[in-house]
Amino acid sequence: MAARTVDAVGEQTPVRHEQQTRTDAELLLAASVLLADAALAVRRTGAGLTAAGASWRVGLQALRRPGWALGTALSAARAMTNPAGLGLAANGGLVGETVRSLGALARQRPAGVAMAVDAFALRIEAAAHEHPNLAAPLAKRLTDAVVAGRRIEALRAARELVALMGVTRTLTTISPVIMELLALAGLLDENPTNDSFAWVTLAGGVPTTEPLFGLPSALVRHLNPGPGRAERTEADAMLARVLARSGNDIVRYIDDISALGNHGLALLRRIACADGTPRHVLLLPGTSFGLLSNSTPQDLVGAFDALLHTDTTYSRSVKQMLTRAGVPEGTELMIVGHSLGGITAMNLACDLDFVSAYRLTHVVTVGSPIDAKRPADPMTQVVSLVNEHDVIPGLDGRGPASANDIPESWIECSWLDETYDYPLSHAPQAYADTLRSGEVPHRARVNELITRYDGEIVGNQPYLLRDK
Amino acid sequence: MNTSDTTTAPRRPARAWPLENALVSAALAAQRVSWIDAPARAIGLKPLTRQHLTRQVLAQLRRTSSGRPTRLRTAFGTFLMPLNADDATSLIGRADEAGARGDVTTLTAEGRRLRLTPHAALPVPLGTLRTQVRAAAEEEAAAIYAMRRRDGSLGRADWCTLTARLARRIVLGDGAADDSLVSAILEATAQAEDSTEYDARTAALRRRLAPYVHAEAPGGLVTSDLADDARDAVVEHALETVSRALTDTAPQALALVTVQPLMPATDRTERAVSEALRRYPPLAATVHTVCAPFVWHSLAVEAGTEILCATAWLRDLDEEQGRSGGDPSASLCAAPAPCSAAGLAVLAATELVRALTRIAEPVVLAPHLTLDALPADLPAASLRLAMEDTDHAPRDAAEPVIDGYVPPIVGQSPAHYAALAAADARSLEEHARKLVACARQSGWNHDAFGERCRMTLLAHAERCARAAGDARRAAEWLAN
Repeated sequence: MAARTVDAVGEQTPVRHEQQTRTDAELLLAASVLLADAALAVRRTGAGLTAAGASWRVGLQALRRPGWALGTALSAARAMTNPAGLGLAANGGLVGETVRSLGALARQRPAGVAMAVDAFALRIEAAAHEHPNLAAPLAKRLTDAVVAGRRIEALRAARELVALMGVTRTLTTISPVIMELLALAGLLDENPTNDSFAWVTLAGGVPTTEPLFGLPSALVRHLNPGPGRAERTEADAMLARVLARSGNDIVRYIDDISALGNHGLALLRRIACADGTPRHVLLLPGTSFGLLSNSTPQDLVGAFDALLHTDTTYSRSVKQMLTRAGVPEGTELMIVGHSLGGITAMNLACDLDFVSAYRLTHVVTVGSPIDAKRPADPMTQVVSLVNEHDVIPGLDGRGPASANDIPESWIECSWLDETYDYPLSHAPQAYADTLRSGEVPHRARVNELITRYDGEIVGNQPYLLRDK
Repeated sequence: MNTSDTTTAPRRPARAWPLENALVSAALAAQRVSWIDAPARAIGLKPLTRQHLTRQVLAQLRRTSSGRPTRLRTAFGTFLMPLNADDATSLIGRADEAGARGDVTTLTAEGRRLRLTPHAALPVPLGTLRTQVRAAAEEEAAAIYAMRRRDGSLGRADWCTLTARLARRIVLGDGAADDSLVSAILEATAQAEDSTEYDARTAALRRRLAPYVHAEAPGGLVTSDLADDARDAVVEHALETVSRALTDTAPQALALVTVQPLMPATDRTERAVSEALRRYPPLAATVHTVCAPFVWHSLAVEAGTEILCATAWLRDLDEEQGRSGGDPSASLCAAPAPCSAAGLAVLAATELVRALTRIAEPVVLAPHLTLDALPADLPAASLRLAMEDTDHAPRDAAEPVIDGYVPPIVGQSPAHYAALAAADARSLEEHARKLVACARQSGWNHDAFGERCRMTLLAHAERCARAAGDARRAAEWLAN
């Protein structure tokens, strides 16, 4: 189990009476894990039998032994269509995928899908224990409708929820289970191309399609072209003032990121460390929400691209920035990133070329969905700061309800604070404020992990990053 | 005639005929097409397989050039090709003596060129490493066994991860066991496209190795009395060679163990590793670039010449003509002299295979192997192995890992799918049992929702059990 610490701030704890009479969340999660495993086993069995039916060597044998072929075909067909067993379980390969697609169009629900749906339903129920707003009648109506595959009712419930609470509060309410809801919607609709998103969410991993239409992730790459470029620039007066009081402190780093804004700036800091070694810190801000796509890598298209791939315009422009700045190869480096900046930090950590050239010692992400990515260098210390009201960190498929875990060496510090509504809950300022206030103990803990970067700041150089 | 014979003026190597060049080009191209033998095998025409045709081409070359190295102009480059193993060793040895041996690359079956680290002898006798290698191999064998899938099969990615870990432990010491980046950079170095990338990768590798190699009390093979440069060279060469043997030769040897006849007087693992190296040499073909002119047996070899040592082809032809092969470790190192690092690699592969066969019995799931008709190629990447429990299986690792979803391999035999379906049926039964056990917990008693969950779990358990029965019946029919 990875080092995960969860702290609650404010009045989030359910009353004692409820705790005693409701089904335990841990039991719900354990049952959901069992169902997810069973769903995957059922799917695998269907794929195996489909592959047997499509094998040319089995076909050759069938020509030689027609009696055996008939018996085998009947037994396999019985196994793959028995409604009390696997159901319509064909999948994999051209034949299997065609049959599966036809089944999805006809709204057939084989055993694997039924188990996956119930696994997601149990996850949602478990999440409602820690996020009581999910158990409120309207939210419950929405989640129940999605679990049952009743789309019209789900849309009505969502509309009423928005009318009652507004868009941001609605988003905040469903944020802990948003990936589960998207996966369920994909699994229960008539579109067979978005089902793989649900299976990846169930088992953990990087999705290869987007959740709504099942468009392949390669398409997103085409929407975010460009070699990436970095141009040296000067800090404006406000940024210079913030940077002047900075130091090797996670709260200061997040303050610096806030001051950098989301218009394409990134910061390279040189530190003469206390042990006499020169080291570098890279600060990467997150997404600009103004436009879907702009001239910088910090846009929404870039965010989707970074979520699905490791080589993006943002990561390329950061690499160019380090080359341009003449950072010597082998230099020790720490990257602190917020949101898309954190994803990019992890993408760079996954890049063999990058971690071969520089010694990436720490990746500190703030409100970033990074849990499906793994650094190429096992010695890189990954620290993930997550406000559980924040919808963004759950976009990797591992929200509060997910049973998938992160590597043991990672440190995940998560909490529930009073920011509550998205996008406030995602703002770097909100993260910095919670850590600064001392309501959660993570500031000291993270600072202790990055002490090797203690020393005198000898250079703060902002760079303007561009797609092209 | 010896290498210092200067009584005759050096001659340029003989050129192959255009038809011979075309045939060698075709043989090189055929290496890249894995299914090319399928039609000939399907209709029982073994003389039309790649292996037989290549033998014919080489025999023809030997006849026309009187066995002397020949200059070939192929579609994949111009090479000077020795036509027997002795000439190849002698030619490379002479280039080495003359300081004319430049970069060495190996040609993969796919036609890619991978750079090889320069040969460097181990600083310690092989005998002193035996205990350490055996202990590390036993531990990693237990880890490999524990990573089996539900049908007992070994995933290629898991195999590569754990054998790379074993290689690091042997060469760099236990401190480097978890540093997978070392192996990743080493692999990327071999695949470098040009000299700029190669230099950058080598520098990165040396930076990464520095804490292990230049420590005050280095672990693994490195001894503190070695010079700094020598340490790097030794470690790089040993790590590359040991990794290659463990990644490729060890699974091939495990596969050969399954078809070997029992011979009590001999060590079956040693025999299998030797046989794997002989039949499927990891360095099947190497290309040595000549960086300065030299003379070998009155033959003038110019700078820039590429010497193609087709180890696998030449060995195959020699065996066909009744001549036995040489040192098996020569399949792992391109140096002309015996290589102690390759000896260590053979030892590591043998100990790993021995440790694995002690705790489990290997089974080849694909391809189908018979002793009388072993395939000409057995790529480790496409070899599917399983480990069946024996009485010596460690109790704490007996439960295979959860598979998740692994797509089945297409185009296999009915027996393969029967085994798969039977394993899936067992897995579904196990899931049914677990779901029932979960449903029986008292935690569901608190409310109506809990009871509904219990009934859902029981319904799914029932469905899993029925599906298991159906899958088992299908498996029985497939296995009939």
